[in-house]
Amino acid sequence: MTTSRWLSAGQLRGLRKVGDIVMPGNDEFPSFSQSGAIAHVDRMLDYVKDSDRDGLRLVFGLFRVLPGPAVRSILALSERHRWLPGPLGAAARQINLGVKGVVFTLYYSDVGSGRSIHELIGYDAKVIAPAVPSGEV
Amino acid sequence: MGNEAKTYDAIIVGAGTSGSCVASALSAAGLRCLILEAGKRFARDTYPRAELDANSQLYWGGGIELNTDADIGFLRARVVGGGSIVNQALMDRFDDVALDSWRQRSGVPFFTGEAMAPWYDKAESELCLQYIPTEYRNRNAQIFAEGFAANGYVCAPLRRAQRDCRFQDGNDCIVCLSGCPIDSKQSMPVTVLRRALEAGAELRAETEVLQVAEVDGGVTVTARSAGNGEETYRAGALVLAGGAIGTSSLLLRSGFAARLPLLGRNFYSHPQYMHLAVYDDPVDAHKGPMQSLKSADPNFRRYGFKLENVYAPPVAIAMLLPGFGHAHLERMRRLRQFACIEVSVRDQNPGQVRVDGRGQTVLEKQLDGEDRARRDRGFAAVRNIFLATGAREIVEGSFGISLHLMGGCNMGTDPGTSVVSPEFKLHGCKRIYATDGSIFPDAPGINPALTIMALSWRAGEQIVKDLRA
Ligand SMILES: Cc1cc2nc3c(=O)[nH]c(=O)nc-3n(C[C@H](O)[C@H](O)[C@H](O)COP(=O)(O)OP(=O)(O)OC[C@H]3O[C@@H](n4cnc5c(N)ncnc54)[C@H](O)[C@@H]3O)c2cc1C
Repeated sequence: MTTSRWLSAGQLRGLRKVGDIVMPGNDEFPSFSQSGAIAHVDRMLDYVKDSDRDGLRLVFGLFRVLPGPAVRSILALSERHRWLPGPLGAAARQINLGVKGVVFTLYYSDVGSGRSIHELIGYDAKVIAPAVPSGEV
Repeated sequence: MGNEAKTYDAIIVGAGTSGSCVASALSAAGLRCLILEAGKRFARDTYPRAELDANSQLYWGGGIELNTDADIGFLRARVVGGGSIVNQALMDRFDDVALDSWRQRSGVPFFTGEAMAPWYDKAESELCLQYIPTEYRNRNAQIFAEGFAANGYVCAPLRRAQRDCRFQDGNDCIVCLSGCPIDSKQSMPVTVLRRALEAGAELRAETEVLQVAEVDGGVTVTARSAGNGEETYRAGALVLAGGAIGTSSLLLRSGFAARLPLLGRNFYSHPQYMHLAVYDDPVDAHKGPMQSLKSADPNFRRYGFKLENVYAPPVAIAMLLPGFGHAHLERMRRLRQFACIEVSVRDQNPGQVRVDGRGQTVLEKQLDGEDRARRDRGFAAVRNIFLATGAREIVEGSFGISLHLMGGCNMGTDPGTSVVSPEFKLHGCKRIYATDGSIFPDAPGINPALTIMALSWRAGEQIVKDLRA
């Protein structure tokens, strides 16, 4: 079972719920939860600003208790940020960027346990590094 | 260090583009320098490779910082080498348009092509600079060139700080956005900073400077480091090279706003908007040299925007696409078919770097009507290029990304309209200098790194002279 230094079990459930709405998967692609990427959430949360982390905790905590269709509606509304006035638009963008930021970063970083997401999307960037390790600069 | 605190001739805050050059100039002159850098120190075989780790470990804010409207994201490096580790290493001199504007705004006489030339020469001599060979241009660059030709626009090859990218081995430069694994990219740790350290400069990584002050006969610097907690260092002079946001916010936190009323203002960032287009066949924009061409159209320059042939790794591309769920995945499945062009705005409406009551950095930055007109002209040109080359679908970028962070401590002769003097000193201070992108008087509309290097060499010479006087 995934645990996190920063997210409670409930907040992790909220992240998994919204993650599967953002990345539902299909025959070819795993869903967010199937990808296993959530296990690596602390690799990013360790470096996020305290205030941003607090915001994410709040949102994931809320998503845990809301029914799936309500979470989907909030996300869909946040997509319409350009049509929302001033501070409402800014808040919508923050939610949209925050949620998609966590989910996409985990999913497309290809750190999960299942089939390689990079392979599935055809991303094969590489640099062939010399065998000899570098010394200190 | 405890009570036996060493004193230095100079302390340099930030081991990025500017800090490395100043450290090199000072240590070559035999001065004892300490460089304090908040970020970690990596080498070619230790740079984080997963996008998740790279974003969090190489940038402030865990990857991106937002403006107060959350419609512009700022990418600010936090690593030994600063922006030179994560940037694309495109190196341009400024043209007369940029330097004339700087001279008029600042009253600083050396903002001319002629006076800057020796400093550009010096900066260029420290790096290996190459144009991307035409035979390695990828399909994304070809679409860019074909679209320009079809519309009668002018483009030009890019000059890059690189030594041997070994494209013949199939290497893809996009990887090097999180640190070059073969030390081909001429980042500071493999060029200028290496020479500074060889000449005796001392570097402390993972050490964030919290407060600075000018005291009798010198400066004090309080910093917090990973292992040692808070420590205070002393030196004869202080050089601020923490980047536009880093330097401005450090000075604000240190209480300099009262004597420098313009501190944090005049902040520019070249907001960039990435546009994607889907083609029938694979474009593979991530292969080979990621960027080969730039716009060089005199009309674009006049209208205040430029176009760049760019791309980004999957997380960043996913973030640029609107929507989520099956529709999003359907688009990402066609990642190989994406071409990408970026509009970079020469912003003329300055923003402001502030620090709130809790000491957090706040970035206020908006486009005004003129900036939006510049951006929209750029959007129209991108549409023309994509439509002329057979794009099936165009996804217009709506989120601004700022990589060129400039101003906040603008240089000028008049303390009433600027923060830093032409001698690179904070107005009213004898021993505190700023040398990084924060001193830019406005947005040049041209890649800034080479000019930051040139100005830093000039500043280095000035500081050596002052310290020896
Ligand atoms: C993705 C990307 C691509 C880019 N591509 C190009 C390009 O192709 N060409 C170009 O010209 N420019 C490019 N740039 C911009 C260029 O890299 C920067 O303009 C340049 O590096 C800025 O130099 P600087 O010395 O002002 O700051 P930086 O190089 O950012 O260095 C500042 C350093 O100071 C450190 N610091 C800040 N505050 C503190 C503190 N309080 N205590 C200790 N350390 C601190 C930071 O961690 C950082 O390492 C790009 C930038 C990015 C992010």
